[in-house]
Amino acid sequence: MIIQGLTAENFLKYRHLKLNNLPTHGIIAISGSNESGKSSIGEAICFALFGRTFAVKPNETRKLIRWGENRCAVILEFNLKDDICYQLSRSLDRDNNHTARLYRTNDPDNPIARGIIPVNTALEGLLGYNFGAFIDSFYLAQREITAPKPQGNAIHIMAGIAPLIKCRQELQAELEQNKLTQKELTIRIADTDKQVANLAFNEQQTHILTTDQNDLANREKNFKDNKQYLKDIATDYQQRITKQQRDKTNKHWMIRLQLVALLLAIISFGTWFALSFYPKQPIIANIITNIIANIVPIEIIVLTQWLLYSSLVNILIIILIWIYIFVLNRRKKALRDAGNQLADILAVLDELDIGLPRNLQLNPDKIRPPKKTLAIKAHALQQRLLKAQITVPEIEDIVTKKTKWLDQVLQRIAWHQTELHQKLLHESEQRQINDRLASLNTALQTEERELQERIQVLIQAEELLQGAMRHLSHKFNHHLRGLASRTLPMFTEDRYQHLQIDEDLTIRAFSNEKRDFMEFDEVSSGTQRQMMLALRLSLSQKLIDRVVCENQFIFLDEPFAFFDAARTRSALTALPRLSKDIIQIWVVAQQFPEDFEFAHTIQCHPDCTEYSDETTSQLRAL
Amino acid sequence: MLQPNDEIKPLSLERPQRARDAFIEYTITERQRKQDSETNFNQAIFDAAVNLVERKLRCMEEEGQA
Repeated sequence: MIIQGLTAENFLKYRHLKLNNLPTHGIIAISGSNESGKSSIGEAICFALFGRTFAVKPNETRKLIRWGENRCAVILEFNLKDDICYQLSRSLDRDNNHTARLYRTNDPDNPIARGIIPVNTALEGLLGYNFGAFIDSFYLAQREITAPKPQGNAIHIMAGIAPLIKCRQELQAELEQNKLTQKELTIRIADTDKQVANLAFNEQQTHILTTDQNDLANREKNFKDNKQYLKDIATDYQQRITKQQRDKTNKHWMIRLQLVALLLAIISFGTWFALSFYPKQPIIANIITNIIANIVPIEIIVLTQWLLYSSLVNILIIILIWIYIFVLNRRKKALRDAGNQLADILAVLDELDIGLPRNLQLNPDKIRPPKKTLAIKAHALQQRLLKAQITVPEIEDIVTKKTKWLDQVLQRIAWHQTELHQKLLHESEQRQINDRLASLNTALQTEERELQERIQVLIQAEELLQGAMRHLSHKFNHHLRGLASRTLPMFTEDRYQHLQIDEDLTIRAFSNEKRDFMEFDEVSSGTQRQMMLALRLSLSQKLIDRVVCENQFIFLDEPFAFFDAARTRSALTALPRLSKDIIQIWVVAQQFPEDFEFAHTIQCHPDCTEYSDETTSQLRAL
Repeated sequence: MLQPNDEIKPLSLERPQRARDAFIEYTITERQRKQDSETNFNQAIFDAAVNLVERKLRCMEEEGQA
């Protein structure tokens, strides 16, 4: 950036200031006695560029308005490497109304930016630096004799670590955020752990309940089967025992009938046998002649036949009765079997009663008879059943009691099944909640693990950035030291040749005379200014190399305040040739060597409130 | 005293490194140093950190902030 012109109205001591056609190369010398307005020119440039100055605090900018006036205005004309001429105008009134406008000189109607912030942003984009960087490099204020702050943004920009700092700030913000998130995750994990613990879900409980349910279902089926079996067996037994009464009578009569038939069969057969095979026997012949002939008026042959038939019929009857009795005996045996079965099922039911778990017992507190007693009772009942000595009403009574007991037990089983079902449903819900919590816990732990990895990466990244920043700072200081050491001998008549610049920009100079490094405070005020000038020029060069990358002006307010004449002359000789980039050098001094040639001179007077190059030219011409 | 005809070598530097290039250059030596000195050096985390910073710096370059 090279300044081409400056116009100011009511700015500090100037009612009107106008600098035109400024040279792009060489030293612009501003001279004059105390309070003649030399520094005001630099402050006008600074205000035009950034809306503030080094000397006046940002909240006191009204002090820049000329005493007794309500408003000041500054217009700065400059050009950049694109060879386009820009104008930047600012105004400020006592009410702190601050305006700013940046535009191309050839197109004032279409400003690049208007308003303080847009102009500042646009200007920083165009120039590559802001107020801080400007103050630490291209603007050496009159009262400034300290080194720029090493932690300042300007030094960071010059050292090239500003992007690393910005990057580190972003990573630190992310790291803090991640640490907060990690804390929240830890709390949430602990919370879910607590919920899981409070839930106290037991994996085995469902298995136990399911086993109990299956056991109850089996018991229910068993009881139902036994109930049905008892009913069937009892009915069967009752039917059989009823039939048995009738069969008993029938058998009684059938046995008698069978005896009669046997007798008749024997008689008939004997008679037939005698008549057929021994008819000539005197006894038999006599019987035939006297008895049979008189009784049966039929022929003997026919009688013989009928006797045979009779014996056969009787034998048949005997056989039939025998079969019938056999059937009756079978029925009796079946009754005995049924009695056995009934006795068995009753014994089984007694066993079941004894084997019932306490929760299914109808009267759990009742003293139950010992097993042996039950066995004796069962045996006695079995004997009575086998002998069919038990009556139907007795059976009905026993069966009714047992059926009632079975119904009650089944009812209890059903109630327990319902209860178990409810418990299983509850367990299922608990399992779902437990599964959800476990799943959430796993997800949170995974997230925490990933976050932990991310935090480790961020910490490592931050360490690397810190290391890289130290590395760059070290390189920056090294380069700065090299640059400053090249300029310092020119400003100190070769008395000091080396500058040592620490990380915190603490400066020490190597004295050729003392052959040792001297602290900044140990050297004279003039040498201090010379060291600072060397450092300032080096920093300016760094800033140009880093971000500006074009020709640049520099404003040095009283840099030779404590210089002797020889060092002032050396410095003035060296300044325009020190850098190929810093080509326009504004130097303020009370007076310069009279025989020294400058590219441009501005002579300020304490009583003069107006300055214009044209006026000066006119005055000179006059 | 410096005379007008004395030769003065102007202050000029080679074009400074970009922050990203300087960072990568630093990490190469730092990786080597850590590999040689730390027994439990975590290469994966180191590489992830380098990639993270490099990506951020590249973004900043593309946005004109670096």
